[in-house]
Amino acid sequence: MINFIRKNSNYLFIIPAVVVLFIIVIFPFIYTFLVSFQFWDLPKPGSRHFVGFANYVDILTSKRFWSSMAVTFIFVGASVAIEMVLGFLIAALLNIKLVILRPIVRTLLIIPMMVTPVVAGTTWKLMTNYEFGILNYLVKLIGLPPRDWLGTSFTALTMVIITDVWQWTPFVILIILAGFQSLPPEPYEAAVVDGASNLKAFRYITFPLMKPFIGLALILRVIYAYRIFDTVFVMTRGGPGYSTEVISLHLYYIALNFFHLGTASAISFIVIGFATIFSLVFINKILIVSVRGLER
Amino acid sequence: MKINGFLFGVVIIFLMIGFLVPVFAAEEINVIMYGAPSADAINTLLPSFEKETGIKVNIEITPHKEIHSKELLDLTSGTANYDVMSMDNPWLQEFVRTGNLLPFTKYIEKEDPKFIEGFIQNIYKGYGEYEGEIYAYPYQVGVQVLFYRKDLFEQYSNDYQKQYGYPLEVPVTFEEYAQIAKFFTKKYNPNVPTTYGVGMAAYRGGPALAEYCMRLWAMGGREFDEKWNVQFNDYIGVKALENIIETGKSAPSSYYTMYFDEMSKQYMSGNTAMIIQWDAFAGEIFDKTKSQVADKTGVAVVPGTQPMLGGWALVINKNTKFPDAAYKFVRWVNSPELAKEFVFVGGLPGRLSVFKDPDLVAKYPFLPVALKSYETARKRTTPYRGGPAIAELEEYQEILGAGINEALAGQKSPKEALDDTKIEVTKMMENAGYYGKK
Repeated sequence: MINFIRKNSNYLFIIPAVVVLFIIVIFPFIYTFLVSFQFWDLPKPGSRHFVGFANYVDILTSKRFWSSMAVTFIFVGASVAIEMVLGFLIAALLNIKLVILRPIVRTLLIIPMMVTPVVAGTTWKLMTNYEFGILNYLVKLIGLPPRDWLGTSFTALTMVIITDVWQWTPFVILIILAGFQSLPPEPYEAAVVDGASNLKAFRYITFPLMKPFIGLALILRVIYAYRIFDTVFVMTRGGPGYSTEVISLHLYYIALNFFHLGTASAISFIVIGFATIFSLVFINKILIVSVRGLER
Repeated sequence: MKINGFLFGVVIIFLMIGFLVPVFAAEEINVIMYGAPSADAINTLLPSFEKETGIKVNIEITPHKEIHSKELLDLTSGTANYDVMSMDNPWLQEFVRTGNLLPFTKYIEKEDPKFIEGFIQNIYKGYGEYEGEIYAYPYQVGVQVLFYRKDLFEQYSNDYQKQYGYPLEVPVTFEEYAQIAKFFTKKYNPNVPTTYGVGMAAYRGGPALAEYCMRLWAMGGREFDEKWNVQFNDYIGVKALENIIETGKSAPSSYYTMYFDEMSKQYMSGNTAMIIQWDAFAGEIFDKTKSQVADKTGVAVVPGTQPMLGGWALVINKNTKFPDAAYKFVRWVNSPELAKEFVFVGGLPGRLSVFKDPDLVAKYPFLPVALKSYETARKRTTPYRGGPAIAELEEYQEILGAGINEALAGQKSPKEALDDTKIEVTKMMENAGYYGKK
């Protein structure tokens, strides 16, 4: 008995982890896949039956589903783009040797990331309040008319994006800053000798060397932004109308408000489908570029 | 690694005792309630119930947004985490169909007939009856009524007459309502003290539906016809939606992101002339410690006389371990002896005695108006008065509420919003089997 344990201890040690993984990930995955081919309304016991691809067809022809996907793509695209550009610029600023305050600023930057998304969302919601929010107060000071920021579709989505940018730009800053601080000085010395301007140095030295870090920040942000729920739920609950209803919110309504579990399972898999396509196409491309950058 | 037999045995025995304990435990029930004023009322009076019956009651108060999912999950999963639940009356069909609601039949047979007769009958049946069985007692009734600043109506009646040519009276149609709202809005009429003529709550979902349905019904429209075909995108439906948009100009611009309680707060702060609000909020509005306009408010039946029937009832989970205790609690909340006391601490039970009691009427003048409103109030799940009800209220409310909200936010024209909503609602009804099995 003891010999058996000793010989196979490798496998025995990982069994607890495998069991947990199976219960939490693998079994639900397979079960949800099976449910996505059924009609199952939780409040109607006895109505559960096989319907094949009907759920998928219903969803892919549903205006509301595509509107959610569009909102999600716009949200992810805009937030991540702004965060990457802003993050890069601020990291570049912080990298300047004259910034003695760097440790202090770095600590302050972590605070938005540590705040719970729900708290961030609620705070921004209060700031955008029409009657007593600080945003309208500042706007009035400049002389512009106050607005109902969360009440118009365009401004509501903008505010959600701004909240996300506020919360996650520091994440990009920290990664990019780490990248900057790992850059070797030799290529720059060689560039000065060769008479390169600052701009050329940036383009031919800095940027290629930073690609792995930029790639990392980009991938992590896209994955996380795709899953956004808390902030939007607390700020607008998907309104006004459907203008801020991201796909996770849409799924929440279908699964936990209307209890159409079959449809919800199908939506989950379609969402996974989009994520898979994204990973196959983009992550591979970005990872290859990043890894090539590291190899140099 | 020897297993100590003795220790093993001791552990097993302790586990067995642990499982047997619940059987001998005192009766204890878990109640989940919506956080309306009546929940506080019940909490206040609870100690007397516990002392009298020895039943321990744990009340969990849940916000409106989560209570439906929580209760439905508890009912469908067969676990009876909650023995008693407070149910918004439109959910009755849905809850009964899960098969896990306890019918009150055997208790009613033994019940004193005066207890049953004491309920306002169409509320008692409306909230609790399904296919001949009673599943609920109405402990918190609700109907929309019009609250208005009677002091301002008196003060400005001459100005109004000068402007429009006829006297200022409580509006009986929604066109009048919109007009009076405009009159009392400072930006259109600098002479009035109120910033807004009306407050409205048209948040996407239930509140949007509340504003819409009473106008649709008042104008003679219907949501569905007898065959469950969608009808709310006809010209009456569009007119109703346009009326909300028109009236909305006299309300805060964020009115379509407001919920009922925010609307109340706005009115109670004194800068609004009228609101159409659930009578459950009347306690607060007439409370001098909370409201600036407590002694300046008058109450009337809503314009068009077709208010929405709100209100909550108590139901029992069939899988409860203590059905008798649960029924005792439900009955206690609805008992005639306590009804009056409940009103004084903020509740509003569905008993006729409450609305006719002279002391209560003296303190809360809205009671007779509310009683009159119950005569014409309509359930939002029935396509026409007296007709059958749809069980999928949550989804219907969500889809139609969002569609209305889109039009109010200016994203779509009223006709477009209603047409698009018709497509979605039709799809929902199809999937739910209303047009024949697929």
